[in-house]
Amino acid sequence: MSDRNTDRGAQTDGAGETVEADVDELQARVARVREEVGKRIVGQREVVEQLLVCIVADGNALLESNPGLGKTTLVRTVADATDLSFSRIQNTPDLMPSDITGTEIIQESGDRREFVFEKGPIFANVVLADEINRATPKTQAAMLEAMQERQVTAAGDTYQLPRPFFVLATQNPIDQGGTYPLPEAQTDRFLLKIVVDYPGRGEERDIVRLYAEGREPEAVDRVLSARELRAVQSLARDIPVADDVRDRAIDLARATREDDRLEFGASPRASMALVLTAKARAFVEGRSHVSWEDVAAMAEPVLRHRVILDFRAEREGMTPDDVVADLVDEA
Amino acid sequence: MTDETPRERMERAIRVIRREGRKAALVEATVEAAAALVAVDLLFAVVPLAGVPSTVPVPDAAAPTPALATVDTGAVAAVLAGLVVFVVGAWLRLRRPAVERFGAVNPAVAEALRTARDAVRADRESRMAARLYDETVERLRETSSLGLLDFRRVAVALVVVAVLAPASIGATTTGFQVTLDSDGGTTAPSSSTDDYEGLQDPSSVLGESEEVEAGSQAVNATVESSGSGGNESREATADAYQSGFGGGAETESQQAGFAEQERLEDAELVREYNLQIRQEDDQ
Repeated sequence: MSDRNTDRGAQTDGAGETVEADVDELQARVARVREEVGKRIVGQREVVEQLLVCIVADGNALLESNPGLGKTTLVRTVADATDLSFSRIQNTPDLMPSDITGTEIIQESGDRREFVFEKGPIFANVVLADEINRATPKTQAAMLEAMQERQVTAAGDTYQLPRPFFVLATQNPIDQGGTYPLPEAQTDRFLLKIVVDYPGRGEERDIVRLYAEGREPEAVDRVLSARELRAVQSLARDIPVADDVRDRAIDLARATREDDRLEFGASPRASMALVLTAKARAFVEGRSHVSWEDVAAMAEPVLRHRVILDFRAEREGMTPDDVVADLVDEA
Repeated sequence: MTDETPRERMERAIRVIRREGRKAALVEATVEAAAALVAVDLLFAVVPLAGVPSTVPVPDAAAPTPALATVDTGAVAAVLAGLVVFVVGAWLRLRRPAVERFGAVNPAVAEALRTARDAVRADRESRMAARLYDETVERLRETSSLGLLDFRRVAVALVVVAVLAPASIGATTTGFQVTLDSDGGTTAPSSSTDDYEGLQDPSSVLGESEEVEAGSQAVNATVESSGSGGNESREATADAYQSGFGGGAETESQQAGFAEQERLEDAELVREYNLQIRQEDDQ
């Protein structure tokens, strides 16, 4: 019997290293990450869960929220709790692709001069790309390509991005002046689109109490290493899914292409994303199998940025979430 | 047993579930078939069906040479009905996968069981699959296959059998029958001790209804008396007698008819009239 048949066994991570990991223990640690994030982030339980799912599914997230809702704190806290390196890119119209990916510089050492590649801020485990729609399309494309390929090419050399690699790009929905909205083809590269809403009154009071009354926010413990996170990602991918649940997920994605309220439906990449994120959610919830509940929970964040509303539905005040919710009910 | 891999344990568990599913399906189909059998048997015993022979020839397996034996039609129909109900009932139940049926009565384990079944079918051996197998087998210990059996359905079928079987036996031994009148309604139960089987339909006895013409031919008849010594002749008109007689004159024979308005509904009454006519003829 191979090691893969045992609950405790050697798990090879992306770097070829082995992690002696117990599935129960890793699931408990992922749950601890959520608890640690909860020390600094008040409420937003669903957002934290979706963010964790995105990390476990080894994907990238597009986060839409108004300013001042704690996006940076959220991502930084996740990075702190998971022992991941963190960097932040503030996108502006004058940002160049090389400002993100890195550039070659001449380095002098004694009498020698040589070109060395100076890595850009994208070389981190967790990258927060703030207001991505303020960057020019050229810069956006460079970043999204790096995000998709997990590598950067400069002066003919290819550099691998660190693993795990996770980009959280934010968009500000209210300030559209001087922005370059992401094309649909680019948004499809994001595994999830997470919408952060305003907190409730009680939660807002707790936020004020936590950050504005002289108390120091609790320190966040590092409960999951990068290697362990790689093991978690690998295990989550291995979670079995029943044929009928998988077929329903595919039918749900396909239904977006046939619905009259949608002008443009989701691609097959959305079907894959639905199943992948459902698996990741099952792992985060401590299960060994995917249930339909996982697919239904991930349907809105997976599909909302991959569909375009028909103008009639838009005129009636519908949102992509409304249509996706209806399709989930019908599935 | 300890050498079994999680996948093999899961396969074994699924085999057990399928076996239990088959058992439950066959039990339900058998009970329903028994109910159908006694119901049809009772139907044939109590309600005589027009045009259906009381016995049918079947090959006699006991005979040394190929021969035909006769068997009660009701018994044959009952066995056939039971067989059909059994086959159809079993097929309908076995058509739905046992794992799905088991999951429906044990919803707590339904999704995990379906996933494990599909993973076994796909030969999944990953760590998460192995963990799923272990978890599912463990959770199956808290489930029961009793729910696979629809007890209410089985109970109803058994009650039907318990009620109809004695009724069928009683009807066969006492010869109790319910006959259908011409309107399709049932008449009062009659006993079959009276073996009279003819003249049940007035139309079939009396032929098609037609206009009856009153006899108008006058015939002079001379009756000669002998032995009395006197010469006395009497004249009688044919009007006085509807029945024929052996006179010298020829008369046209005519089938008796009856008016539609006076159609006789009761075969017993017709029979009584016929008997009376015969008795008068005999006298």
